[in-house]
Amino acid sequence: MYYRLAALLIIMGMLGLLYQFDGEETHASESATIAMGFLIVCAYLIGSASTKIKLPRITGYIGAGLLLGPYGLHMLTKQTIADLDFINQMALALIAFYAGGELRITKLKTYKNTLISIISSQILIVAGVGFTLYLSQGYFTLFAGMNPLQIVAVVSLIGVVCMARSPSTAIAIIDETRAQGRVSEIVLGVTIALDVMVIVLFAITISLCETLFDTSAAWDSQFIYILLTEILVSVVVGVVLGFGLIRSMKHMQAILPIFLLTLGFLVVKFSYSLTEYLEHYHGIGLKAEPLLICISAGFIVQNYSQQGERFMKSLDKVSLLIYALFFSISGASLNIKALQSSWNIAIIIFLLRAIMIAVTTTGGAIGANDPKPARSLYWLGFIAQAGVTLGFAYEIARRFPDWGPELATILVAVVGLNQVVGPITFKYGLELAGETRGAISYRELVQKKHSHPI
Amino acid sequence: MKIILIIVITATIALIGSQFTFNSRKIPLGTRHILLTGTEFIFIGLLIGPGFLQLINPDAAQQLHPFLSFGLGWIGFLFGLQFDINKVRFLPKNYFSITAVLAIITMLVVFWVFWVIFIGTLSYGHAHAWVLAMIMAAVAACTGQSSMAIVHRDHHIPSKGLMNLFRYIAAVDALFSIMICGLALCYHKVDQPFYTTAYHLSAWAWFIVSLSIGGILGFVFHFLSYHKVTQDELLLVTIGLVMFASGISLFLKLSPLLVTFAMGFIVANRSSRNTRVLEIMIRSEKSVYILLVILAGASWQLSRAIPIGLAFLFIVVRAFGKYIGGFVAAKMIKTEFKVPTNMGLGLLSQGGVAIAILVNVQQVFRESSINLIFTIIIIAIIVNEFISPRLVIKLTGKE
Repeated sequence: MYYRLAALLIIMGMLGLLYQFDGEETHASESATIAMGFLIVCAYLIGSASTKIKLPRITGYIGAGLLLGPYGLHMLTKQTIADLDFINQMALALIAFYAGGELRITKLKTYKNTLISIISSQILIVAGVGFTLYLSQGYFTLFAGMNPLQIVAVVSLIGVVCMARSPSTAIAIIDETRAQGRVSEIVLGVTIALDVMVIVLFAITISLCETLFDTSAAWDSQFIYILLTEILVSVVVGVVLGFGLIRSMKHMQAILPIFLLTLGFLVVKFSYSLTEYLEHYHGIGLKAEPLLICISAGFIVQNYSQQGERFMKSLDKVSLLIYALFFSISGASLNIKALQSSWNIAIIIFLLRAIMIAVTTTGGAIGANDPKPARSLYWLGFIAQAGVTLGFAYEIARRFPDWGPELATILVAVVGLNQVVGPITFKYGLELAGETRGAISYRELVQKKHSHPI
Repeated sequence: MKIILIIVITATIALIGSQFTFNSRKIPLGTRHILLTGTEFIFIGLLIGPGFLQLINPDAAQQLHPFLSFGLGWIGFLFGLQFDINKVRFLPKNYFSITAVLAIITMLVVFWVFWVIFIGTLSYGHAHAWVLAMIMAAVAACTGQSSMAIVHRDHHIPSKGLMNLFRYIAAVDALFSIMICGLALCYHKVDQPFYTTAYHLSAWAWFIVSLSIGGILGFVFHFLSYHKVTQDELLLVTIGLVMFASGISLFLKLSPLLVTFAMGFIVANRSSRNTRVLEIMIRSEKSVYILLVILAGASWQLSRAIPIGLAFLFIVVRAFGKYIGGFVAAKMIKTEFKVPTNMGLGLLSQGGVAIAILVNVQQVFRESSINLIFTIIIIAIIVNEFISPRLVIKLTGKE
């Protein structure tokens, strides 16, 4: 412990001393290299320290980012974080491959009823969050000047955003704890399915809002077809990529992890370029969804070849580095100031969301006749929120300049809370389920309590 | 975005290339000495560079600096890791003396000739000529290991002792090159107009600073890996610290090779995880090396007037330096087997660290004069890579 603390102090001291040489001619890229190295080391140290107090590693990574980022010690500037954006893209692709690889048809078939029941019941989150906010509209300045119909649209939008999850966090926790079992499988399955669903729901709701707030705009149902086409195209591309991957993996040995990382990154870049190209040259607003492509590819490799285990092991080899960078950059990007300015409403939405998730998930699991310890633990895995939600927040701010930025600030604060609390609750849930290595299961815990009554 | 794509494409070529090159594939004699040694990737780099396909233009090359810097840091760290004193001391001590004599004499000869040329013929300023001549000397001293590997693999060598000595020299003499290159960059740093910080240190002081930064980060590595760490954690710490060290070097315009060499040396001699780290590093050695060679090729700005004369002169002067160095070492230092006085001619192969030094220098230098040096050395590397295996075979008694 003391050795690691000494190491941390030394490199922080070196970094502090280094900026004494600011007068020299330097480039942003040089600072980015230092920042990346510094972030990796600090994330590793704080991540390791967090495991000592039974917290997930990624909480430590996020904490490291928060501490060193532009809203913390300012050792990493906003520009540096922006320069490291390519890491996020690489990491998201890798996580998406992993998520697809974790979806095993045999397991999905086993849990089919539970999955369908939980996913269906979770749609009630929109209604629950929306209804509660509608009733308490008088307490929030956000709704000032809106007519009842507009308020319904905005609270529905908030409800949809509350449905969004963080597949990356779920994957990272499952990977870190080496969890295997019902809870981890179902949480992952639901999270990935909802990730796709929520994009469709968000598109519908935001379009509804636009119609209600802009009287000149007319409802155009064509966007739903475009959206469904995007999803279909992405899945098809992912399937083709998956089969291509199966063939090429046979020729890759030691370089497979780096190859997958590179391939994932290329998929992300290619998708963005294709979107730009179609928009710019043909006026077609069709987007290829890179994460869906990678999830589909991972799914194909896992379920339609003998290479599934090798594929997952290869991803494992680079996962620690990628998680450390991705989550610490995410932590550094979290806007703490947003939490300062709108902490009250953020906490209300955070609690409301958590309650609705707990109620709907447990209700759904009971409806599917799920076994007892597991059904009360699933919801703990659904608290975390990250990238997609932030994307939604920025989209709201962009499309509705009157009230969008205020709502976006609140949503960013909610994401901040969820991203700090979510990994902890999920790890706790997996431990209670007895699915992690060396965990004491819920059943054992109950037995222990009964054998040693206090 | 383009820059990231370039990196991805280059990295992919490097990764796939590392699967095929440095192997025992049988291809016609002669071509084997230039293909499958890694040198061939210079041409791939040249192809994607500004001269031909223009995938990498000068701006893009500028943006590649951090990645190159990391690659250099990786190579420097790996080189330092191999200097585990506990292992090195079991090797014959006179081998090190021979290596030192050979490297120092070669450097002196090349330095003197090119210093005169830079000042007299090319009319460079004293300080600039001094730095460039030091770089030429540093590149001249190191010996590539590829030709030794080819000869050892493909031919039965009667003189095992001499072959072992050659391999030892090829593995160790880069130590002197890295030191001199690091020092040259320190001289270059204090000679720059932007050198205006309150910490106005001399070149030698910056040299000590370079070693100290590496040394301190070596201890940081030791502290971080002191307790039980998994292989993944070790990789994470290694990448983080190499990146940090390389970034600092680049920021301060010092040599990443030198800084990370010092770091690797401390890790090799202080950390109990040194063998595990070495295993991790060696696994990626080929890919990182090929990546550097490609980017070196891409940075090669071929002018219409290729300095063939100077390149030829460098090859000859270097060979002469090696010959004299070998002659003096063979006469001065006793070994258990007979060392031929012309052994220096068996050590003409370049590549490896020579390319790393070139990339290192190019990162720091902004002057056009570096293009001249670059062209001279790249031509010399290609020529030497071609002729060297034949000379090794001849000297070790096969032909």
